[in-house]
This record gives sequence, C-alpha cells and structure tokens, in this order.
Amino acid sequence: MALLGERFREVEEIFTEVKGQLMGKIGIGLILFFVVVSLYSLVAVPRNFPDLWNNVKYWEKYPKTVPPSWVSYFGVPVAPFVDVVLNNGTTQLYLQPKQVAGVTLFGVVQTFSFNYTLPADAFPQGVLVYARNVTNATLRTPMGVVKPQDITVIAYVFLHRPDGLVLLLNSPNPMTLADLATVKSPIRFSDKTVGLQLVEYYNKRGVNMTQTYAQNNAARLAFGEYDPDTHEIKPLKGTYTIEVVFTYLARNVDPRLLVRAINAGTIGVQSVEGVVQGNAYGLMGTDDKGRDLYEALLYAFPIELLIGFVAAVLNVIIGVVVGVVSGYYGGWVDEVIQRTIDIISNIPVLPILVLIGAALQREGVSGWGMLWVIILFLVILGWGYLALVVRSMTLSIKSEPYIDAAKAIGASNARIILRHVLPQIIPYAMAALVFNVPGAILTEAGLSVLGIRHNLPTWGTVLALARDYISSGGGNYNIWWWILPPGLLMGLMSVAFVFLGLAMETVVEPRLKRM
Amino acid sequence: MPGDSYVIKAEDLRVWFPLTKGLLASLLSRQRRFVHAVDGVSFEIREGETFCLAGESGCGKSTTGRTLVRLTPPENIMSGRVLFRPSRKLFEEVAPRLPSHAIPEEGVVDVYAVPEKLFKPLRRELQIIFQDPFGSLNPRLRVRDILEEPLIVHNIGSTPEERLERIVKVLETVKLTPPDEFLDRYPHQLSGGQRQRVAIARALILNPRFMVSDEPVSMLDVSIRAEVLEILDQLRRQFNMAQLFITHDLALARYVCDRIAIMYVGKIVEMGPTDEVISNPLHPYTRALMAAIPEPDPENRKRLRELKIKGEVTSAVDIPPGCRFRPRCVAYDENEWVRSRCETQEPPLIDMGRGHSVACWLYAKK
Ligand SMILES: Nc1ncnc2c1ncn2[C@@H]1O[C@H](COP(=O)(O)OP(=O)(O)OP(=O)(O)O)[C@@H](O)[C@H]1O
Ligand code: SF4
Ligand SMILES: [Mg+2]
Repeated sequence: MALLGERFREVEEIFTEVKGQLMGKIGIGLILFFVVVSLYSLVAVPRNFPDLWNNVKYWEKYPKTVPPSWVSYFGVPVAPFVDVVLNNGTTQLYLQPKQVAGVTLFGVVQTFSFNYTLPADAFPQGVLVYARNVTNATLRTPMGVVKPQDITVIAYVFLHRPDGLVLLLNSPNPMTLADLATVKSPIRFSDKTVGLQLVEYYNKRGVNMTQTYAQNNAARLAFGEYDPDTHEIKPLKGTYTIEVVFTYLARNVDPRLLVRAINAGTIGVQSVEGVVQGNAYGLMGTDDKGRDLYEALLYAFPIELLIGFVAAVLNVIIGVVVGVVSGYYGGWVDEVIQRTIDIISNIPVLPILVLIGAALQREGVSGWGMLWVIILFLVILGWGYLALVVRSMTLSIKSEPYIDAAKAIGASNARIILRHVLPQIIPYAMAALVFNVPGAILTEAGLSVLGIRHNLPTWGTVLALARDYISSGGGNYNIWWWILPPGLLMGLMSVAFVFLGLAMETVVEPRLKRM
Repeated sequence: MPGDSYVIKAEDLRVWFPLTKGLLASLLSRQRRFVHAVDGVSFEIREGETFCLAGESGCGKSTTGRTLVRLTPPENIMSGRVLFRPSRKLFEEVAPRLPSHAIPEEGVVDVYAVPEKLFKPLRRELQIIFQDPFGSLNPRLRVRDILEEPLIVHNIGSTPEERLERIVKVLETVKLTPPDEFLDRYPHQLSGGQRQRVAIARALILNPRFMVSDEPVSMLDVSIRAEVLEILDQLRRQFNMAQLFITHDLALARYVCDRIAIMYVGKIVEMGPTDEVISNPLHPYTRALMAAIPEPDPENRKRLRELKIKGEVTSAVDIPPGCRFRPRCVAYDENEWVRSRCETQEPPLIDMGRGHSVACWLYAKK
C-alpha cells in the first residue's frame, strides 16, 4: 500500500509539472476535448450505429454526397433538406372526377400535403415519400366484410410549383392496401414520368426539348426553368407544395363508409413521411450513400480512443514487463528476448497487417472481430522498441550500488524490481504510452485506406470511403467535407498525444538523468 | 578482545568472470577466457577484529568483499568456499532447514552451499557498506524508507511505529541527530558524510556479525573522513563485529586495522598484524607500496612506479606462470638465485612468525 501511495504521489507530481507547460496544457486540453466528445458520443449515438451504417436502405432518403448545410452562411446557395411526417390527411369522396397534372382523381381520395421553400439558386436532389403508418385491418360493413387485399390503392405525388405548374412526380402503380402496409420502400421520384410531362409542357410553349434530355435532368427541371437560349436550367425559387394523394377502390362497399373509416383511422394510410432531398445536409454533410458523416465521426470518437489506448496500454505493459525481465535477469532469457525483438522489429508491420486483413476479409471476418485482430497484431509487432529501451534502462539501474545494497539486506528480486527498478521506469513508460496512442489510430486508418475494411464507421473508414469515391471516378473531387474532418480529427488527436508526450518527456527526462 | 574462532573465513577462494565475447567469437572458439578477479585467497576474521584488504585498483578487493556477503553470482565462484559463523540464535534458526553439506561444522555455514531461497535470514548478519554514498542510496526514497526496507524484508517490528522506533535508534547510533530532522530527507538533501552514515545505519539496523566496508571514506571529503571512521570504529567495539575493511590507503589501514592483507592481481601477497606488516614489509610489492605512503598526494602511483616497481599492472586475464608479480619485481632482477623459482612456481604464503606471512620465494628455505 505504501508503495502504491508513493507511486500516486509521483504521478501527481509529474502531472502538475506537465500542466505547467504550454505543450502540456494544449495536449491535456485537446485530450479532454476528445474524452468529453467521446462521452457525449456514447449517449448521443445509438450503439447499433454500425448496423445502421451498413444498411443502405436506412440512408436512402438522405441527399447523396452533399456538403454540410451551414455552407449557406458562406454564400453557397442551398436547397434545404426537409423531412416531414404528416398525420393530418383529409379523405374525401370525389363524386366528380378531378384532373390534376393529367391524372383523373375520382372516388375515395386521401390527401396529405406540405410546403417546401426553395430560398436560393440551388436544386434539391429529389423527392421521396413513404407511407409510414398503414392500418391494415378488415372492415366489417353491413354489406359484408372487406379485407385489405380487396382494397386497391394508388399513390400519387404532385408537385405544385410557385409558377402554377403541377407535376406528377411518381409513376402510379396500383397495389392492394395489404401490400402497401408491408412494403417499406418509398414512393419514388420518376424521371420518366416527370420527363414526359416536361417535354409536353415545354413543347407546348414552342421550346424544343427531347425526351432524353428531360429525363436526364428531370429533378432539376422539376425545381427549375429551362432557358432555351442558354440551354441552362435555372432554379425556380419560391414555395412549392407537395401533395401526396391516395385513391382507394373497393368493390362491395359504400365509398362513404370507406371515407368515414379512413378518416376515423380504422383503415388506410395514417401518416406519410415526405422528404425533399436538398443539396446540403446536417453538420458535416453526407457520403455517396447519403450517410450522415457527423454521426459516423461522432460515433468513432470513443472507438478511436479505445483503439489507441488498448493498443498503447498493451504495448507498454508488454514492453515494460519484457524489458525489465530481459534487463534484470539477463542470461539466456535476455538472449531469447533480444533475438525475438530483432525478428519482430524487422517484420514490416503495414504489409503484414495488409496481408492479415486481406486474409480475414476472405474468411468473412469483419467489424469488431477484425478490429481486435488488427490491434492484436499491432501489439504483437509493436512492443519491441519500448522493451529495448526499458531493458537498457533496467541494465543501468541494475548496476546502481543501491541495487546491490538492496540485495545485501536480503530484498527479493520481486521487491527490487517493484521498489527500485519499476518506479524509475514508470514515468518513462507513461510518456511512451501517451506517444503510442496515435500510432494505433493512424495505422488503423492507414489500413482502411489500403483496403482493409472492418466496416465499422471509424475516421479511417470514412477517409477510406472518400478515397474509394474519388478513385471510382464517379464523383467530383471537391468533397472536402468528407476528407477534411476525419483527417483533421486524426491530426488533432495525434497532436494532442504527441504534445502531452513531449511535455511529459521534458518532465521525465531530468528524472531519468538524475537516476 | 578478538575471540579465538573466526566469524568469517575465505578458503582458497577463486572468483573468475568470463570475458564477454561477441557472438561470432564464442561460436568460433570453445575456449572461454576469464578475468581472475580473485585467484586463490584464504584468510579469516575473528570477532571484533578489523581485517584490511589493501592493494592497487582492480586487484580484486571489492570482489573479495562482495563474495564474502554473497553478492557474487555463485557461477563465478570457481573454487574455494566462504565459511560464516552466525550468532547462535541465527544458526539455530536456519540450521534445521539447511542441507547437511552447507554446515561443514557445528555453528558454521558454507555461504555458497546454502540454497538461494534459504539464505535470506543469514543476510541479517552479513552486511556491506559501499564506497559510493551517492549511488548506494536510492535517490527516490526518503531516509525512513531506506532504513525501513531491511526491517520489512526481514519482518522485524510488527507495526510501523515499532519499526520507526528502531530507525530512530539507529539514526542516533550513527549520530544523525536529531533523527526527526533526517527521517523525511531524500539522499540529495544530505551531505556525503551524512549519506554514508545512512548507509552504515542501513547495514547496522539488522545487527550484523560481519560487515564489509568497501572503501567507505574514499569518496568523502578528507575533513569528514575521521568522523565516519570513528563511528565505524565505535560500532565495532560496541557490537563486537568482525569487519573487512577495504582500502587502497595504507596510512588509513594503519589507523583502522588489526590485521592487513596486501593483494596483488587476485592474490594475497603478504598478510599479518598491521603494525608488523607496515613497519617490516617483506614482499617487494608491499615495500613498493610503503615507499608511497608518506605522500598523501594523488601522484603517488607515478612515484611508486619510478621508485621500486616497474612495468604495468599485470593483466588479470593472462596470468604469467610462476610469480605473478615477476614482471614488475625489482628483487627478481637483483637476486639471480630466486629467478628460476619465480619463473616456474607460484610462491605460497610462507609463515614468518608472529602471524606474519608472505608469498615470495625470497623467503623460502633454499
Ligand atoms: N561483475 C564483474 N564482471 C566482470 N568483471 C568484473 C566484475 N567485477 C569485477 N570485475 C573485474 O575484476 C577485477 C577486480 O575488480 P575489483 O572491483 O574487485 O577491484 P578493486 O580492487 O576493488 O578495485 P578498486 O580499487 O578500483 O575498487 C577488475 O579487473 C574488474 O574489472
Ligand atoms: S617470488 Fe620472485 S618475482 Fe615474485 S615477488 Fe618474490 S622475488 Fe619477486
Ligand atoms: Mg573496489
């Protein structure tokens, strides 16, 4: 116990000295930041986030490869991302057919609608609508039983533009209420449907437009105006209304009864989610699958710290134990250990890890399993240098007369190591630990970029995906929001630990010299 | 006062250290070469007696001292043994567990025949003080921690208070008073003399029967040597310890020792009562050393060489056949009749009476 107390006093002393230095302050400040954000991440991001991350469907509604929405403050025109859930549909019985955008609405008609304001010269990426809550029940009427399979539903999405033009955005597809209730995919924007309407619209105005052109630019044409002189599409600013319409058709039932049932919520669509995919999203933008980079980077905070610390702690524990044993006991143990270090420190770490990673990928190992294997190998290949330093420190401590004095009074080897050797090494080991933390993080990132994927959203993964995106040639190069944040975070984390390590070293060094 | 029976005894002790060779060299040749640090040394020290070892640097004094308190790894002991007579109480405590070959006679243990694990209790009575009072105290421990360690190791004193009491007492014994003032100091807060007294206190706190003092004052200022020596002398009287006092300073030896042995390259070349040896040195090497005594200045060694000795110190690795002092011996040059023996046979210690013996063919019967 007394031994422990003394060690704590020592650690406290070193900490106080480190805090007194500018570099120490910066390092500790940054590390504190990483720790606080990590704690926040633990409560803010669901721990099943990796599953979501790898679930393409989940990200479907988000805009793809867009910068953060705050770019609007820097003058970048932004079409906002809007995601609304509508519970207030109105159901009516159209006794007279009504024409909307070339569609004839008749009978039982349910309407949900919301507004979308386009404030700047920018185009949203598209519109998606989900039937979120469908009551899939059997309706009992005096005339008989109506099952969901017997009701045919057709969904229409209309876009009412500020200039009065109304466009049908989807290609309507009759399905039974039963199917609608189970299908989770959205009602999609249809380039073909929209294209056809636009060609007709512009041709009527004497503007030449081919079906191919209209189809290829459907989303932009829907939210813009084609200028025949410049052949450019200009965004149309203003307030749009998006109208989601369901028509219900059922044999053997009084339509009025159906209307009442739908309004009462006993049957039919209860809520609708409408999404306008803007051209910017969230705090940190999205990747090419629409995944929220902010959430991914935030989720990764504690993982990065974990990777760094686990690898560093294991490295240092092994390095110190092996180094002390090697230096203190000497003889053939020392010889074996030294040759082992020779061997492992001549193994090129990165190529070996790439090989191991590739093998694991082939075996279908991924996620945490892969990450732990990578850390394991980083540790196995990584403790050598520290062990050598600790060994030589131990050798020099061992030759101190006070070690002989301790032997002479009968102190056991364990006691000599714990009381006289380790305390000298611990401050150095702590500095080494701190220095070691970024190493594992950077190596993990490097491996990701080199193609070893564990499919966990880490900073390295995000960076690696950016590389994929660029090298696949599909996208543009200007994806700064995708590259810079993970890069900067890694850099900042390295700086934090290197600064703290340097500050600790300047504190530890004179102590080393004193011994 | 010295009793009749010895407390510690070296018998034909040889301590050799293998020369470290490169991997390649050791692969190429099977033959290993050794530093003959101690090369056939025998003496005994009685209760209350201070026995001096003197000689040039590197002649094996420290190795001899360390070997007596079992600080030399057993694999380096090439021959001979160290016999130690612990106090009755300690003997009775350890004897039942020792193998019979570790007890050559009643009351005596063969130091290197005791298994490592069983040796610990014996360390209580075998202590050593080192030359360097700066290095022999762990700079990170306070005086109280340094002095408490032996007590903890040997389970002396069941409570911290009991141990503290003992620590305070021993500090008073070595005249670090008031003890309270020193308990919480770190070594760097002590003067050289104070540090050496802490080192003495650490050895003393276990009540040793035998103590090696390896040049305990040679690194101290001349002004404080006397008081440290006085403390040592007083302790010896008070506790009737046997002491091996190592020095290269013959003037000091005369003041401190009852008997003295002069070592040359691992061997004792002359041994006897201090006054006898110093007033009547017999060995050519001792004589050369004596010629250097009156000069307390550090140029001694140069003068020594000019005077009665020639050449360099013999290498402890390649010991010449015959007398190892021969390459430097002036008497060998001057006395043609001894030469053949000097060249071929190692001179044994020859008893010259009054406990005085010398290893030189000049004194052998023709
Ligand atoms: N552990 C060891 N390993 C190898 N050689 C050693 C070891 N200890 C001592 N020696 C060698 O043994 C010889 C005798 O050394 P020792 O320290 O006993 O001499 P000394 O008489 O005490 O000298 P000094 O007056 O300088 O202290 C020297 O040549 C020394 O280099
Ligand atoms: S034995 Fe011969 S060589 Fe050796 S000291 Fe005596 S005289 Fe000199
Ligand atoms: Mg010495």
